[in-house]
Amino acid sequence: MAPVQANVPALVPLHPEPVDGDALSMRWIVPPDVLGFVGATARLPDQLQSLLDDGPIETLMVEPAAVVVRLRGAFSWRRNGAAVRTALQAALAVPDEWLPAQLSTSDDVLRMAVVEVIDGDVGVYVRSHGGQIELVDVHDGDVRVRMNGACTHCPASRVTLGDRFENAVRARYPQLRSVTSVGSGGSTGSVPDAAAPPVEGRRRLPLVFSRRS
Amino acid sequence: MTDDRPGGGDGCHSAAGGRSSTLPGSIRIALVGSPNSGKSTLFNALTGLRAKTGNYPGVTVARYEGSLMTQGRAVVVEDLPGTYSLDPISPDEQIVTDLLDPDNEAVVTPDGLVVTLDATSLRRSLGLLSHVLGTELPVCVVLTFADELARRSGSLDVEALRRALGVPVVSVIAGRRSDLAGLRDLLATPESWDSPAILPPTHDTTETSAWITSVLASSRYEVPQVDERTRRIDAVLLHPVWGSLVFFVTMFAFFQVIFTVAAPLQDYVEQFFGYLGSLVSEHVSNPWVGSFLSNALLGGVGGVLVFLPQIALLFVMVALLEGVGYLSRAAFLMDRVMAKAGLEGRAFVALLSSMACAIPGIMATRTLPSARDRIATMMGAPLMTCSARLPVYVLLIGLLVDPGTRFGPFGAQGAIMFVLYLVGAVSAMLAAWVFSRVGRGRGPLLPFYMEMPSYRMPSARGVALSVWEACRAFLRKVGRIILVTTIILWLLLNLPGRSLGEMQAAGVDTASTTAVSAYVLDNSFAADAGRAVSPVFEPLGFDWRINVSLLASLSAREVFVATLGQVASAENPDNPSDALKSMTVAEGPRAGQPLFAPPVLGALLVFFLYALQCMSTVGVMRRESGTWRWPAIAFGYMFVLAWVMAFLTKVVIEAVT
Repeated sequence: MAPVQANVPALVPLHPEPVDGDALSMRWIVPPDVLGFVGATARLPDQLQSLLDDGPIETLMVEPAAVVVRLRGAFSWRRNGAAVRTALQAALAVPDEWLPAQLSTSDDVLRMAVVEVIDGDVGVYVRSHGGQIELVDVHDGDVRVRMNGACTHCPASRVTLGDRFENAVRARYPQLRSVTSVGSGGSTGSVPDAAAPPVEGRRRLPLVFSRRS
Repeated sequence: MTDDRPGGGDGCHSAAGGRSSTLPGSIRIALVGSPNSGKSTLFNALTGLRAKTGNYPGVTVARYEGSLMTQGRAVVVEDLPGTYSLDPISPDEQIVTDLLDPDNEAVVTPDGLVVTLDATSLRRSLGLLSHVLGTELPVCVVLTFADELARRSGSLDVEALRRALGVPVVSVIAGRRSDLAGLRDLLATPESWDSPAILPPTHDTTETSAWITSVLASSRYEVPQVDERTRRIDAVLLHPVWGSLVFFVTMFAFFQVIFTVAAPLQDYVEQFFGYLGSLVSEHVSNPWVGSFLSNALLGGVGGVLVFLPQIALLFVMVALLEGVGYLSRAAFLMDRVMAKAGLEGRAFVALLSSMACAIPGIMATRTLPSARDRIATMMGAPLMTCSARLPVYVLLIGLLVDPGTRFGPFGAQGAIMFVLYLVGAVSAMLAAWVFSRVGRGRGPLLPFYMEMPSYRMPSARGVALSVWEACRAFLRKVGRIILVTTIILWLLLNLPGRSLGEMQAAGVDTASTTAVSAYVLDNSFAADAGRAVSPVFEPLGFDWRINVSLLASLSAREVFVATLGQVASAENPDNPSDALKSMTVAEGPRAGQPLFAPPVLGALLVFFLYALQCMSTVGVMRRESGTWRWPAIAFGYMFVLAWVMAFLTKVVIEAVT
């Protein structure tokens, strides 16, 4: 291990997780608020762009808290992973040089984060209990969802949403303001627990994804 | 803390080093982890063996192997010394690095590695894991201390950690059988463990630390808080002044307890041997058999066995202090003192281990990165008061002052014992310091981590196990080396045989068995040997009987007690302890004066404090330093020191009394 160099700014935290069923794709988990957009890119910082233009990278997609990179068939992560990591890490240090292919708002990022959560672990958990979460809309950091199926009259749905869903979304989108459940009968009920009243417009919650440097 | 690894008590460390024979076709799994990350606990739980576990680094200083059967396959598990990285800085870390290097032909590369990660200090542990993953051997992570993490309001998503690392992760809480079952199943098939698609960065520390930060964030890791109670207690116990005060008061109280609590128990054991002695004199008519049974076995070996209560109590106390979590604080406190003198914390841990026995202490020097510090610590370790000195001290202190004597509110016996331990410890540190100054200028102090476990109730089982192991080691030592030496001594004390005619010619009353045995004793080979070395010990006031006991105690210090016991029971079979007290100087200018006068007792105590009267220690020093030079130097300087200090003590006591 090389000695720690003084005055080198800490790199953007980064680690890879495999994408199920696709050995050529790798989901690089990155902090959620680095890039500020989702989807394909028009232009990347030079080193990374060159890997995409005539290097091992076939496609690159930005997610709320990840960058999914797919390699061309002739390459493998075992051999080329370190080079991609180095380029990606350098590129994440200059987020201004990333240009999205389509303009996306912060609500687009939040919407994708919610969809990821519904499709991911939390959704699987809710479905395993016979329930279903449906995204109603996203506006300016506020999320409205509808609880369907077994969730409708389940007293635990408060906990399910309050803890797991909200934490999972916040992990991908730290600016999340609130999650509100729209009752299936049309009436709205606020899910967030009354014990944590809004503090200056934002509720204080036990943040799970708090970042320490 | 105790010396009780397999074979540790008598200096042969059977499990160290070499590879034991293993079944062909069995799977080899090595346990890798930072020091104190629970490897040995896991090893014991998996294999049913009992490697000593402890909460400071260096408890496992050699390699241990054990085996288990799982899913019809034999798995050999190897417990490796704790290491913080695979860039070795000390010999015990080198062991790990060599083993994990597939290009190293000298050792068999394991089929899989189990890496223990301490959940309460995950950031540091992941640094080691990144290096281990770099070996590209199959890796499985065992998360330890998850219960402690939860108790101190930390948290971790184990499944997310598994995804982030790309290898199997199993949480095993120490001693919980159900956690182990899943791990056992995994161990059968290391070839099918998931491996990460991309190895973590290891060549650049900033990249590695970015990887670690990301993995921790993704696993929703919340660092554990320091327990509030622990923090408050530590504010006092780790305070340089109050902490030291508490440490000394604790130790002082401890030695008071040794004398007040153990003495009645010791009386029971003595009464038991007295009863056996009366059986022998009633039923055994053959004088040779009778002499062997009553003098050698009951007087000699039995004379050592009566100290079992003290040994047990010493280890009860140590186990309690360790179990509560105090001992690592004491080590931390002393480390700061030693660091000022330029000695590092690992050296203190080695010295602390020597309080049980110098042998594990000397082996613990393997954790020291610098060869010079290692030798220096080895040179000091035998001066720490080991448990073998305990019987000698108790016997001599008993002769020196009555149990009732008090210094103010404190028992004098306990106070003297405390001073002896204190002087031993100070001398050991001074010796280590002096030797570390000899030679080249010193390099930088390398990092030394010591976990401060939260205070907790010690487990009764842990204490009982530790005490039992210590007592067993003591009994084994009594049954082997002490018994053998005592038998040899008995022969030397009773040979050559004397004819009746010869004794009558010398004016001995042959009708009195006591007179006969005194004459035989006084003209035995042993007496010749004792007289031969008397020019050396004469200035200290020792006579031939003490000299013989000293020579014999080179095999093990307790033999001193056994030999004096033999001599005393030969001179007065009915009441050997009275015989010892009333022994007089046999010959020379002081003939007829009491032998065990305060100046001589003081000189003897100090002599035992300093002299390297233990051949097992010499042997281990030879093995650990790779040359006879250092044990020779240690034996020489300690003998000279012992003689000079004993002489000074005698002069001072004679001057005051």
